[in-house]
Amino acid sequence: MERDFHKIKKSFISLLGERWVSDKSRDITFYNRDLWPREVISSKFGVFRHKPDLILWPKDEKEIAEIVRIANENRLNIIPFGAGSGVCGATVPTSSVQNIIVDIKRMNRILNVDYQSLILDVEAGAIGFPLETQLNNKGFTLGHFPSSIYCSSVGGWLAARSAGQESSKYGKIEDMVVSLRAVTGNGEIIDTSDIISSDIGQDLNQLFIGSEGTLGIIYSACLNISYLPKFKTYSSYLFKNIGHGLNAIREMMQNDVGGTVIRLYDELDSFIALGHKKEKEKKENILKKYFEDLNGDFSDIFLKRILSFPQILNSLSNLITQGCLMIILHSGNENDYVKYCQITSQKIAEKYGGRDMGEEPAKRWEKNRYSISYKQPRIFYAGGFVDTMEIATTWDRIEELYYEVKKVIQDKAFLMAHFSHAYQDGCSIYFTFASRAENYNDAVKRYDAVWKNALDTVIKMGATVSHHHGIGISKAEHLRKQIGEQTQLFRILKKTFDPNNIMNRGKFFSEQ
Amino acid sequence: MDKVLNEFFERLRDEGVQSHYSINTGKIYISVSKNEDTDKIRPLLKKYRLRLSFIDSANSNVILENRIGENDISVNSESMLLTAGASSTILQAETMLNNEGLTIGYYFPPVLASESMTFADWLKNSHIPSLNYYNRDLSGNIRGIKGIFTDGSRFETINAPRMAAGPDVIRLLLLAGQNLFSPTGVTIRINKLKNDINILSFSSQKIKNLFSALASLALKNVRIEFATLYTREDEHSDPVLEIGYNTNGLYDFKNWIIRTVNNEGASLINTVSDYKMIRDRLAHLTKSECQIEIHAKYRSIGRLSDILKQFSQNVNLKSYLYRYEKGSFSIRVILPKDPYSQIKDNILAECSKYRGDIRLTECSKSSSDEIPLPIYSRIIHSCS
Repeated sequence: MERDFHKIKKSFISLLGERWVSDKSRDITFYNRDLWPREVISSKFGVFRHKPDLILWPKDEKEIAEIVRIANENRLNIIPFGAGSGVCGATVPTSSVQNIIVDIKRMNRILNVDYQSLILDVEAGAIGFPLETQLNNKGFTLGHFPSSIYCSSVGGWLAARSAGQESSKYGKIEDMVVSLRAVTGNGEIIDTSDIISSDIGQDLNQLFIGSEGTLGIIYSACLNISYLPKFKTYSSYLFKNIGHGLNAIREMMQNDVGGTVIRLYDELDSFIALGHKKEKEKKENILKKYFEDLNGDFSDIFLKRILSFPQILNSLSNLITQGCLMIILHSGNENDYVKYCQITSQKIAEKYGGRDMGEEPAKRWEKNRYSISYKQPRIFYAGGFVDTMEIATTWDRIEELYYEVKKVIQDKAFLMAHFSHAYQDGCSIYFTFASRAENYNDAVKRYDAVWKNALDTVIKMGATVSHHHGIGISKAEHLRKQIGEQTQLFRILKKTFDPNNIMNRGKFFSEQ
Repeated sequence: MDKVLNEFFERLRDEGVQSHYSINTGKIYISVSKNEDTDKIRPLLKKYRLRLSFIDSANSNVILENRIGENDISVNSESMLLTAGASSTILQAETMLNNEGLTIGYYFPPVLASESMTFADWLKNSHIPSLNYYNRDLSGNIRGIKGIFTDGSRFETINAPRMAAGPDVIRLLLLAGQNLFSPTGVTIRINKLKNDINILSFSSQKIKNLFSALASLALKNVRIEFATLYTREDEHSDPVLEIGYNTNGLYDFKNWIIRTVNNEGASLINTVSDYKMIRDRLAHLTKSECQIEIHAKYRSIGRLSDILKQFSQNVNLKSYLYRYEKGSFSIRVILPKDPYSQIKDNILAECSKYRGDIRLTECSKSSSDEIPLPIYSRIIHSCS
């Protein structure tokens, strides 16, 4: 067996060159997980449950196609890898057969920008921030701003149906795709631009987007871009409670004035956001100190202490009556229209009792828009864990969903939430939860219990288990419950594009 | 009758499921009007290793007539969603919505032409485009589908505004159609009824200017209700671009539209149509024979215009806008019946010089069953 694998490795070396094939321990360790917090907990406690056998870095689609051919011949498991910023374990190598990571970071070029049709042709290994910067320099924007923009790739966005912070204006990544190119699990190179949607009545892109590497490797895509907006306005409002704020967002979205960014924070999240302002005014109190420490500078000892008692923290947070903060950014190239949207949204906010908080909270959000994710390691270093959960449903159920999910996890983790990614028909809720336990077993037990309780509730209430992080391993079981008989639809796609099950085995509904 | 089919038929009758056996075709026909009937059929299908068919084809021997949820329509105005039984007509739903100040409102030309079209029919034509790219085609507006799979199981997709839960199963359902399922219900996004739609008409000698104006409106995100563009019956008259915009107490887009279109070299003219005329014209045009569809990226507007100009010198070509999106658009060209094939082939040869930017499709291939695309065929094959 080992001798056979040595032979396989040699065939990959002759294809890619020695430099681009690795089984060095540092690479094996690096690629054994993505940013799924459950695996981060494992690493923290020195538990390494999974490891890949080989890492490959192809440079073009021909090399990818050949890798897939060899994998088919030897029944290997291929795990496509972008930047490893996924938070659901989609790239964790769990298969019992040899796991081959195919990292496409070498394929990171902008192939073409059609400035007349506003279409960007880009390779899937391109990282978000440099890509956006290059477009900005020419006066354009992709309009995709996930909080992971510094460390996530186009391929990862497509694989997991990513959403950026400006989705209210530009849509989710799947809304931007004109066409894509992929090597399927049976080694075929497909380019969906060869198939006009009116030929077959449907958009084949949408069958590949969100497939998380289980059907093939997406290696490039044509995406709609936009003119960089010249005009921007910032607004913030404070609502008495979540219900009032949600009514305002719904009405704004249904009147086409929802803006580029619209976010509503629950009481605790608002308290923290507004707390910074008060700190400058030297109006500290103990409660504020507790919560601000979670978000900003804190000592590990203090953090350990507060994370051990989530019930107490959550009870304290229930005492906050300051209200719920909404921030709105409007942007565009027609100044009158941008102003009109701002004024109309202000009228709607006032209708629901929103108190004008000025530009400052919205401007501060924009300044710190990517920083929150980079504060999470502090919690892990302090022996705790933190994770985020993004669920979505229609407007008529959104508030109830928020309270129900909160109810079932508040004894296990400290939590706060905001509402973002709003649409005419519904919205997403983004929970952040944190907790800790003394040892590995207790930590994963508590972590798993939070997810199970929350997602059981989500399914019971007819909402979706994921809005933009994807499924990976973490939500696979609940996705199965969510879709029931429809698992056969995934099997149809698998049979069509990856009949030998060599692509990311064990993910979604495929065999390990 | 085949022994297995015979036993299956007997069991259906024992279960009280409405069915009959046709001696002529050798097939069993089942009719279900409630979900309980489907639940009775499923274990029998499993036991006798049979599958349902929703179309009477050579390979099918158990055909299901699905009559579930015939006339159910409900409106969730808070979330702007309509849920309808598959057999309800679009007209029924639209009338109900209009009474509540709402509308389906996607401006799909062929739908507007048929008053008896049901939601099940509409699902089969889900790719018919909207004349407003903000609204996308129907498949981009479907939020949920309920139906029966060929193994007799019932399903209902989750209804959420957006998901990151794998490939888009709704697209797959629509793609595979009756090869995979029979719909019993559908949930779609709806819109507010805007009574005050004004129309601006523009004209230019050069159709290129009108295409460019359309592109400019789309790329600059000017929020219009719909756009239509067509060559006139009288070949000496210039082509026309008509823009519908809302004036219902909201932002007045009129000046923005006029400025954008004028910048591309087209002039405002007296409005020649009202909304009903536009709707009826599109419905009429889509029924015309000998049509081809040319899909072009905005950057190839000049080339497409040249192609149309070149062929217009010899024959009378009528064309109209069929869809427009953010980076591209498509027009339909009505060719003379004689010699249709020759002209089509010549245009095809010209278009193929710009492969990637301009594509030609034959409109006769409107049914996905007739299209021999390898990927499509394989997906259908995988359904069996």
